[in-house]
Amino acid sequence: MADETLSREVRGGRKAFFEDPAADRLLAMLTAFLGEHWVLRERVAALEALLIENGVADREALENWEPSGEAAAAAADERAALLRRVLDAGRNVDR
Amino acid sequence: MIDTRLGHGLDIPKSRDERARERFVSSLRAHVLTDVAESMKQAWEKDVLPAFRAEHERDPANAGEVHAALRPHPQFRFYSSLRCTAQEAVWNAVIDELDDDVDAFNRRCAEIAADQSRAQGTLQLDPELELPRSATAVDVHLMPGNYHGSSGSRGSDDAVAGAIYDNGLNVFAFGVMGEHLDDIGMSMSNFVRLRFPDLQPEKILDVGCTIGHNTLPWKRTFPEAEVHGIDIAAPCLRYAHARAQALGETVHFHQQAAEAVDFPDASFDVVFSSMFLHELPLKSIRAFLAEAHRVLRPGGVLINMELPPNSATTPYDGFYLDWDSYYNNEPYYKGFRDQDYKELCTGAGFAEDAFFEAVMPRYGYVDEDVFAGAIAADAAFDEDTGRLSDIIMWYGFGARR
Repeated sequence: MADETLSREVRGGRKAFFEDPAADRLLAMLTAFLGEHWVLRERVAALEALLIENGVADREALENWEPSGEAAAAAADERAALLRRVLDAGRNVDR
Repeated sequence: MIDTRLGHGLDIPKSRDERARERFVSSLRAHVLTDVAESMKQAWEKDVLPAFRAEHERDPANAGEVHAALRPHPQFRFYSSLRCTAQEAVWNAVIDELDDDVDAFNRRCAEIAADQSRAQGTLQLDPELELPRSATAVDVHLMPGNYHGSSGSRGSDDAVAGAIYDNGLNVFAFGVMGEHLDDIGMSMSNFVRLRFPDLQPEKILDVGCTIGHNTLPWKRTFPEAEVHGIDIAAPCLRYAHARAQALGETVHFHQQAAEAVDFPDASFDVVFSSMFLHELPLKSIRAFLAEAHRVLRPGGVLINMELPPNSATTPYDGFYLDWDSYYNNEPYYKGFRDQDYKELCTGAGFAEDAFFEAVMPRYGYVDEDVFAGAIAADAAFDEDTGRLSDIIMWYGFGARR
């Protein structure tokens, strides 16, 4: 999808159900986020399947691979950054 | 798991991520309509119904009372908010795919429609046809742009709304509506074939046909018949025509309103509609049924696949179906379900003893003898009647002219 040329707006709108409509919007965002998470999982599954099919790796090797040394430290940093990005997203609400 | 391909020439290119997104939304809908819906029903039975009984010293009398009592409950809010979200996600997933190249899609659709090698269907549009306000005021089913397309029309080959609907319905239906989303048409046409064996239809009319997904099965069930479909939405009709050509079925589509059908008196043997009446104001329903009576030959059959009436469902199941009326931009849905369907038919001129109704399993999912046995029985309603699930039963009603 390059540009949005088709409309996404719904004439007549959609209702909110929680006392604060922000909760409806958050639930929608969380659901979309879950969708994107699934999209990524399907892509990883495709990658793994192709790696195995082409003899680059086998199921056991993929399962047992652990990051070590620098890679492990980098992964820890990325994990911490991910937690900050997601959990601190609403930091200014009602301050 | 759903097949993200529609299996006909109008398939749009979908990337790996787009296909994954469709599968996700389909599963989300299945989850909401099964697990989350079940949790809401339990909240009703365990919390809300006992409180209602304590306060009123009786059970709720109708769907409206269930709705009012359940509305403040957190489980109702969660179910409803998530269902709206899933509904919007259906269309968003598909619109993203189409946005990749709208003009190329419309060109391809026009080319396929023009190819007469596999089928010889026709399309007649009426640019002068005025769309009723009941059809343009809100985007039905929360589908952006509605069936007739957004106000900024894309030109004389615009079929985008049809593509949004076909691809969206495929995601929406999570595999329970047939390979070509045609099980309603398959079921209703085979019902007519088995229930009225003396009827050899020469001409069949599908009213409010949208993309013709339930029109085509009539041609398959009655190959000798001439099959016509009408709708007011030009983008859907362009798509319907191309889709029929791609699938090799000769069907004729016309842009006409159900309230003023432009065919002569006594010119059809079957008039059919599916999931259509509940989108119309009562005045339009009555006008359509009168038109159906007018264009049917003596002995001809009117059959409407619909949601069961509120009088046939428990107050809770009535509430569950009516939800769409309040929250899925289908303002006439409840008003229709509150009607006496027999009275609607007799009011249009059909004889009282000519009325019929039937609850049937999905034709494409059972053996023919199971289907035939089921339709021979009186209509039996339960919580799966008309409710989208993997054990759904279709409901239909009509009358013989």
